[in-house]
Amino acid sequence: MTLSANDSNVVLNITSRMAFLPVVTSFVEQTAKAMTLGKNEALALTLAAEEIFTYLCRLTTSICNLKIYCADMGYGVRTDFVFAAANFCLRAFNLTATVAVDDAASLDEMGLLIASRSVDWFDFFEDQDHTLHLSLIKEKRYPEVKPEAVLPVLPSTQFEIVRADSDNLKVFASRVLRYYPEILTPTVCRYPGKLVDMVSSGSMSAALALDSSKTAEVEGGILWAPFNQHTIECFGPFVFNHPAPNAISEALLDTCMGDIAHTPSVALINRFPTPELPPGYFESLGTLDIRSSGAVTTMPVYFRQLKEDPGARVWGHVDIEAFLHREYDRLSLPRHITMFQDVGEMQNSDSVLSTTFDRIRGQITLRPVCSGTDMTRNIKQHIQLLQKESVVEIFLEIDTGISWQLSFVPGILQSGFVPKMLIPYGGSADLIIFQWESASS
Amino acid sequence: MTAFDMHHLAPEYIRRFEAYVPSKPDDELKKLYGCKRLYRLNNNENPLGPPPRAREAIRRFPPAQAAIYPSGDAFHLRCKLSEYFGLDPNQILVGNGANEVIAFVIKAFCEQGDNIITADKTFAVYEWVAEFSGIEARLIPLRDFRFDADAMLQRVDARTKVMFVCNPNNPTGACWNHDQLVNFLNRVQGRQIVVVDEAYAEFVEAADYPDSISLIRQYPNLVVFRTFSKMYALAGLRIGYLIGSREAVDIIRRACVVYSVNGLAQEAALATVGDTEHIERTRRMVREGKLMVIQALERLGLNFVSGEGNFMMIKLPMNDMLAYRRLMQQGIMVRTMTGFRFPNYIRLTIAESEAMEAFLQALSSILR
Repeated sequence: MTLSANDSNVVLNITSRMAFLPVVTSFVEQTAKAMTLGKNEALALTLAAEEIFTYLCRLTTSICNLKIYCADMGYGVRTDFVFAAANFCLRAFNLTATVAVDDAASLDEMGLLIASRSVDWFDFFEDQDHTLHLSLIKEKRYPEVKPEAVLPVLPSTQFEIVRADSDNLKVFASRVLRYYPEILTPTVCRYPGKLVDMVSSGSMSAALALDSSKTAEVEGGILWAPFNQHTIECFGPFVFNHPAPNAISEALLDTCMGDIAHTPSVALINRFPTPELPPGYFESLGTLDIRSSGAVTTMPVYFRQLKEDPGARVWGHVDIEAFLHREYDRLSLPRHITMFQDVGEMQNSDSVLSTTFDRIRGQITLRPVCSGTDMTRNIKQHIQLLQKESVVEIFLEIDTGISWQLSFVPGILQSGFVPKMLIPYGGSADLIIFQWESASS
Repeated sequence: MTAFDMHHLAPEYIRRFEAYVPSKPDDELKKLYGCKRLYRLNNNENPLGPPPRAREAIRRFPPAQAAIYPSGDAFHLRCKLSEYFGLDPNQILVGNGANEVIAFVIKAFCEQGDNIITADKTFAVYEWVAEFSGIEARLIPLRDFRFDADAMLQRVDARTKVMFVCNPNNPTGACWNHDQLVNFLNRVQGRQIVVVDEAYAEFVEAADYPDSISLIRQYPNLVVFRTFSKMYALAGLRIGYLIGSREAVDIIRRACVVYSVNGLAQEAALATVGDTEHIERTRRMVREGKLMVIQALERLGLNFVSGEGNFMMIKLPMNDMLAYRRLMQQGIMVRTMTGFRFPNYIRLTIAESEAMEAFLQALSSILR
């Protein structure tokens, strides 16, 4: 057992022995508190860690080596379990997972279910070395603010683009809520404290346009954050009380792109474009139907590359072959598509889908975590459950860089999803976005 | 052997740095984009190729010589260049392309905690080399497409070691003239190394372009970069050099990798020195090509930035990455400018009329 730390990370190396459970819980709880997580949130994260560690200890045969990382994200704490455990059952991470009380194995898995529900975000994947990475994030509790009446911003002719300080960020967030419809408002603007923490910790970046007169009024801004390891997502540009098009929006976007121009990111995406998005900067990927405040809005999704496209080999499926060719041709993207084929190799019995909630917009996004013989049934069970919960905006993402994910395609189509768009570099390769259409299901 | 996480061995500034991925070779690109021909108008190469004497030197190079280490410090080339410029051979260092001499200078003068100053919209290698060496790169916005001397000087502090000025600036083509450079050097007062990168110097036609090499005597902190890649069309052999005062070069040499320049490159470069006929032929081609492109851009109503050098920037009404892909489908390869922080601009290498006509035709078609 060893413990090591740097400025933002503490790592515990430990083995899966129940005797070490207090060490693990104490490690997670105390580290979370030291990273300024509130008492209740630290306990929730500790509970999740306890359940996962307990489950691992009950694994059948041998003791395994674990690394437990706690990272300070500024607005929360991320705990990662990294381990090699071939028999680790991910089934319990399905949203639809239920526990039979008379089944001991099933009871074992209940701990994972508790873990997955007691944090704000979880994700897991198996890397090429068959090492599992299981990540939990618990965020700090921030007060939500409502849109407030703010003094109207008078259009000015001169402005400057600056890096945001915390006071101006709060004004910016308040004005976004005041001037923009809910559907275009990044959730984080409802929690200005979280926005400030995210920007100061580098989890999100912001540039603001200030009136260059004495008042230095916040006239607009743009936010951007990683969408995945290849792609940055930008929100905005938001410009208050200036008719579009205007020079402010172009200057904000140029600042965002200048900031990320020399980073590893290869693409910039904008899923909630404001009317101020300057023409010519982006390419349209298509539209998604988004429900907000009871109405359905057809939302264009925009994208641009930040680097010259080097071409790529991607996986496809014959059931969506026409869609893939049409989209790649339309986007002039050089792709060599290899069709996935089921050649009868042995599969897990249980497939797993992860679920991401966007509670403000009432959206759910499903993503395959592992394939299994029950894929179609599993997707349909998720749909049924979500329908019961009155969720109708359901998306499913398939990564064209991961061959087995394409095996989900027949089940996805049979469950009432239609392919809506391709997001280049949205995953390890391109991402296919399916949207569930209730009428066809 | 068990899997080994070696990330912790790398310094933080290396862990956060992403390796530059160069474009694929031409045959691969043609396959990817489904084009039969490919005009390379992206790297500011000289389509006329090397001067005749350099071609002859390459042709005569004995294959058996490949088995022998080259001169470790490009002895004969340094002697020839020193004779041509009226310098001491010890004022010259030859590198594997100008990129390598950038690294020599940063390694020689900078340590952790130091910084360099350059522009935000210029040749990116100064910034990259600094960052992957753990040195802060302070990037100063251009003013009217040229280096802003006042703003650069305002950012100097006690840890500023090197200031890089690209003259003419790649990609804007804007130059500092003699008076501007001298004024800048006077204000620096010898407190920092001033590097003037003159990769495109041989293309410059402006009468007041500074004779930087002659200023070294007066300003021992001045270091000038030149390359054989652009005007002399030896990009494939990778050879460039720097010139400075003996004091400066003596320090830089300590960080210099010897034997990094191959023998064929040294022979070919040696044969180019003093070839004014090739320079005049190339300049004529660039003048004619620019005129042709500018007239067409004006007809198309497109804005452009054209200064010195064998390149120009064109502002498109579409994003440059999409333009790149659509031009590639027609066998035209340009340089996108998002990475230079000029989104929606492309940089075009000026070439012979056939290539320029093909480019203009393809450009018109993607704008329709």
